[in-house]
Amino acid sequence: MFMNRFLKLLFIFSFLYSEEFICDANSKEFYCQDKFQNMKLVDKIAQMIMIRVDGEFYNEEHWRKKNVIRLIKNKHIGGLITYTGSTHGTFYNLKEFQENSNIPLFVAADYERGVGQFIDGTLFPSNMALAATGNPNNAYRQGEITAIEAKAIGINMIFAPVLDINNNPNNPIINFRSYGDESETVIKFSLPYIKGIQSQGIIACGKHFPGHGDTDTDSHTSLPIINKKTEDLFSQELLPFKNACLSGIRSVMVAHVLFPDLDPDNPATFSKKITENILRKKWNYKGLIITDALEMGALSSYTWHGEAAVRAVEAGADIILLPIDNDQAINSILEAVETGRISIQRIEKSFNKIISEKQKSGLFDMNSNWDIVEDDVKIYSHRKIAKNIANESMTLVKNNKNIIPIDINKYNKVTHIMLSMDEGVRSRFKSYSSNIKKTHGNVEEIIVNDELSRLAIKDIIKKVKKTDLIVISMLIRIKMDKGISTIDDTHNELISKINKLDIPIIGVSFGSPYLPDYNSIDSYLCTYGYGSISLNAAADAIFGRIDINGKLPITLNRDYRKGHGISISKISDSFNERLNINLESLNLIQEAISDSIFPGAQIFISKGDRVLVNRGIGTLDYEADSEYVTKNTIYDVASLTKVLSTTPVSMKFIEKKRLNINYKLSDFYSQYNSPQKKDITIKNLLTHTSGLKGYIEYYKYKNFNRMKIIEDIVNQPLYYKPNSKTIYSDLGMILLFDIIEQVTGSTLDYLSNKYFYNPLGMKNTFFNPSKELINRIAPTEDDQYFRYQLLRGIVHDENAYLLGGVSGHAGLFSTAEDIGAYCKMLVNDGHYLGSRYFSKDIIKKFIKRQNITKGSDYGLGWDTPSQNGKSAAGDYFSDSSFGHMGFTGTSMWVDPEEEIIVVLLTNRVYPNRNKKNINKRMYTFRREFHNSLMKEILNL
Amino acid sequence: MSLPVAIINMNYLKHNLEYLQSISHNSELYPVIKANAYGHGLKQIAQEIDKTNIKGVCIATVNELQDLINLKVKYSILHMGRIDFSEIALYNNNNVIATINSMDDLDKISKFCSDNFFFRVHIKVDTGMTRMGCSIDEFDGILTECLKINNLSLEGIYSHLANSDSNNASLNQTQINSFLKIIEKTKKQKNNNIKFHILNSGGLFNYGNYKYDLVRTGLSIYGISPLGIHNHNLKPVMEFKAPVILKKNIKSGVMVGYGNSYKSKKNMDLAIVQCGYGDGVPFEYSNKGFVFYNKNKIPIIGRISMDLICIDITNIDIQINDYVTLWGSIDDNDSRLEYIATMFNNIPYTFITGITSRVKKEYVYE
Repeated sequence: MFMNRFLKLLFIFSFLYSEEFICDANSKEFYCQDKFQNMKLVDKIAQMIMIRVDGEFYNEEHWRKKNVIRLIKNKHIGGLITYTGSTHGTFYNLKEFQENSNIPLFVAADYERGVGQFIDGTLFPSNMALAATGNPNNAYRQGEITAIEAKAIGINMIFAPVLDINNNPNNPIINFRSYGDESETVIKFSLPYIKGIQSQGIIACGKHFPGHGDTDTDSHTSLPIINKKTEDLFSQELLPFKNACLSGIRSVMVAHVLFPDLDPDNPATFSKKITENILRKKWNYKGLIITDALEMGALSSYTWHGEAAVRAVEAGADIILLPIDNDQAINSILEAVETGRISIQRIEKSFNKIISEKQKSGLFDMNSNWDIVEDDVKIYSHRKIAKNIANESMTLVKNNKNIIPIDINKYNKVTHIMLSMDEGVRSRFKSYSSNIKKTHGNVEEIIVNDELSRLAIKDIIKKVKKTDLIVISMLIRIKMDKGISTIDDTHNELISKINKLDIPIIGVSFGSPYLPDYNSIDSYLCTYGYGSISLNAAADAIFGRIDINGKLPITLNRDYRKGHGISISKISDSFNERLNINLESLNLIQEAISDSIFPGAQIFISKGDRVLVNRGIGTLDYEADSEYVTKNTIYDVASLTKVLSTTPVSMKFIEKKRLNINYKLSDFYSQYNSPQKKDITIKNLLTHTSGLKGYIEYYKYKNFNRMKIIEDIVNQPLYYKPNSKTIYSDLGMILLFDIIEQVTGSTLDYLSNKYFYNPLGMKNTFFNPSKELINRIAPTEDDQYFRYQLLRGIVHDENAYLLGGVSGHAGLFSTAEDIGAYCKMLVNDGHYLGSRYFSKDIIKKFIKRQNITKGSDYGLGWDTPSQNGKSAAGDYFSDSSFGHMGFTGTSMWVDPEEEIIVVLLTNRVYPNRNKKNINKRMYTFRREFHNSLMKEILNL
Repeated sequence: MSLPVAIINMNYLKHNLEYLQSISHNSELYPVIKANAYGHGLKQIAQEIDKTNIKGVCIATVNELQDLINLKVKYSILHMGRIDFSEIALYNNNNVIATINSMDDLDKISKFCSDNFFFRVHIKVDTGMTRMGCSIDEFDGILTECLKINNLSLEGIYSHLANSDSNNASLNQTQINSFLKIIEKTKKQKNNNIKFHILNSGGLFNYGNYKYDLVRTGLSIYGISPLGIHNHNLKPVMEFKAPVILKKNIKSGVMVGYGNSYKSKKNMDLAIVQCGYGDGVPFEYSNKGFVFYNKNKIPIIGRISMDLICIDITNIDIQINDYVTLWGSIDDNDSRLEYIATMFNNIPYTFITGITSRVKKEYVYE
């Protein structure tokens, strides 16, 4: 490292002034400013020029790259500004450019919303969104993360924060890029942001001095004029800049805006009165002064580009950003010095400042390494912070009739209207609109991306008439050259017409939060941006998946002022009420305990949105000091695994079209190519009609592991002709488990956690419970023939044990409450707490009796109460009910019509499965219990 | 060069600080260096204090605050004036302590607080002077709110005595009693790390029992006692001198200076001295003031001009270019401002802060 630096410096100095190389390379503060005095004037001027590059990967011969390298090598320009491309391309381009430069280059980027705004780094929401979170620490974190990522990629200067105050709602270019409409708001958030950026040695740049906020003109197109009195500017617009300077901001960008009261003759970029007098003299500001891009319309239509560069330097700029013609800019400035229009001292001053800032940033010691990019850029911790900021920024301005969060059950049909003047609305809204579509399940979409004719409005009105809820998502972009600051007039007309239909309307704005009319919509959510991060947060907000707490950082109108915002908690419980009713039927459980059918039980019973019972009864075992069963006791649920893990994971991958019930087993196992076996499908496994035996006691064989078990199952001769009988088979579910793992490349326990247990909040549901939980687990059998120990926290089923604790037929541990939550999701047609788990259709399909053999009760994976009048679930569950039972003494039954869920978990195999008449006694208890219970709760 | 000069003796400053620290015992000494360090030169005094182990100073205006920040002094700076919210960034500094003078101040500053935008504050309470500070009624609310706000570090509570230079004014005791109640209330809510202070220089001399944690010494560090009588442990840091530039002899009946306010009654020797109200010589000196030279108290005759004064040197051996002292000679107690100010029914503060910028300051170090 030291040698590298030394060599590089040796190189620099030998190039510049070989005869005078006397600097001490050991000193950290190494570089001798006066040594640069021998540099040619034209090269010093070139240090003041900043040119455009991008992050596309170019090969050596590409003309763009060659031109940049020419300007670096031959002209010795001092800085680059990089835009879009790939992270990889940006990194390697910059590395190569630096290697070609004798004096290290400034590399700037407009990462106002994080590195992800241009390349594949962490994306943050807009400044206005950040201010809506009310938490300035978020600004610091954004600055810090942006700087860490930018630095890893090779950027050393960030053209942010925007310090403009958006005190003109019609501003088409600043808008949500500003923190707010008062100087106080801008100061509050910008200063921590600047600290965050500069904490990493990166130069922050406050822009656009002295304030681009109070105008409805975009300086990209023509020159904005801000007719404000000097004293007003000093008491508002200038304050964020002044405080940034007081806080040690290292660069300030000057705007192409005319402030007649400060300088009637020159836009700020060309005004000595504005830059030199205010920044340097009045505020004693010592950092860099940078022009806004000289190529912008405001200037290019004002004066020719050579003259523009000269005037900017005259006014005090140290860095000339993006001249239209770089060579011309250098030549014009040089000529101005030669003719005495600009003094040599003026150039020296800027040059010295540039060199000393490069020194201060450690650019002379720079070394880049792709590994750092991998370690630092877009890492999980960064994305998580950005996501939280986006979530915290969601601002609910109004919410008549509490439409948000959307109660999915309440609105049968939803129409989602996407309004924009932007052709890209469809692709920009893609994942957001499909999120809404998927979550609700019955959504019609209407996309508008142009002005609407009367006829078109009529047409839309006709379409939405029969809908129950309308979501209007408004993409209000600010965009170079064609910025608009609110929605189109015809779109506004559409909304006011829809309003007359008396259908609830949710409005969501993406981008500018200002609307012409807030009365025509019932709920209004502001997101202040249209980056993916804001779109995701909006979908989460309207369905109640996140808390809504944002507060307006700006004033919309008299009713909706700065600081206003309705707070709503996310939906945290899918039940409205949680009771613990002392149902009489529970006495039957007490009796069963007295009868020693089992030592204790855990019950979860709900009807509709009310939990009726969620408790434990009895004890964990028959020991004298046994602990009581509580609602937190964990049971080995045995075959409930089939419907809590194997079946839902299958459903998920069938929905994802990665699995199909008609796939043949022969696709997975060559043994199934035989004529007898070749037509056996996954559907046969799910309906127990595959011809496989019910069970084989593999533990009696020596050294059977997963491979041997699977091999043995697939080599089993058919026990009966497929589809001719229904024989409940663990072996079939073991095969399905093996197939799922083959297809997905993941393990069943991982998939179950990922898709169900984690998002549903089933914290006590898992395979192979950890040892720390042992005291909460109900013991099952005192195993005297295989494992020779009391099984507690070890799966009871021997085959599941041989398979490592995770299998498709058994292995899961859970609580009645967790299973109740899972069942509630199914009763809700697949949604839970605002998130969609399954489509209504796939649930319907799986719980339906398949009737492959006459009298079979099986759906796909699911069991249903027997119709022979002998069901263990009793006689009162409706026809469409579904559920399952488990050998250890567990059961779950769901009646979707009555919305009744009954989960009963026991350890009836304790202390052994062969208690006298146990099967019969257990069956009788189950049947009586469910009958009594259903009679009781159906009458509640 | 024959121009007036203010000689600022840093040895005396150090001496005074040491003496004041010795009588402050365990309380911290916070020298007050507002108003250009009472006319002594903010930069030089601030830097001299930076060489000592003084932990903090007090100033009044935001410009003074900015100057001290730019000097990069290592001690705390208590800004006693109203927070300038338009330059709020200045207060986000490890060395700066802002003063909360009202609930409004607290509301405004709290809006900026965050992990990287933090503030140290003292609350000022108006216990009876009726100037800056929140009312006693307002205090409870401010204190409770203040302790709730993250990244706002309440480090002190203070007040100011209206009559500290007098040891028997009844208002002093009333103020002190009110402050005692404030201390009690505060300690109920937060017992640690709050510095209480109510004494200035006068208070230190007259009410030494109430030093608490900190003493804000202003006038006394410059070697001047606020009690109207000089304290022999204090050495005047500033000596204001001006040169004789012309000598004259006049006969009886001659008018001297503007407005003919003085008419000689005898034959006299006069000297014209290069200094006037343009340098900070009080106009009230006209025909009443004195200058000091070699233990002589020399009367000023005629009106004070902008640049010149006239003195009666009859029978005094003084030459052109000799400097006379307007105030602050260590060798002549009569030249001390405690007495001069009293004579003019004025206070020493106006004299030293009245020195104008055209008077050169000469700093004497060891």
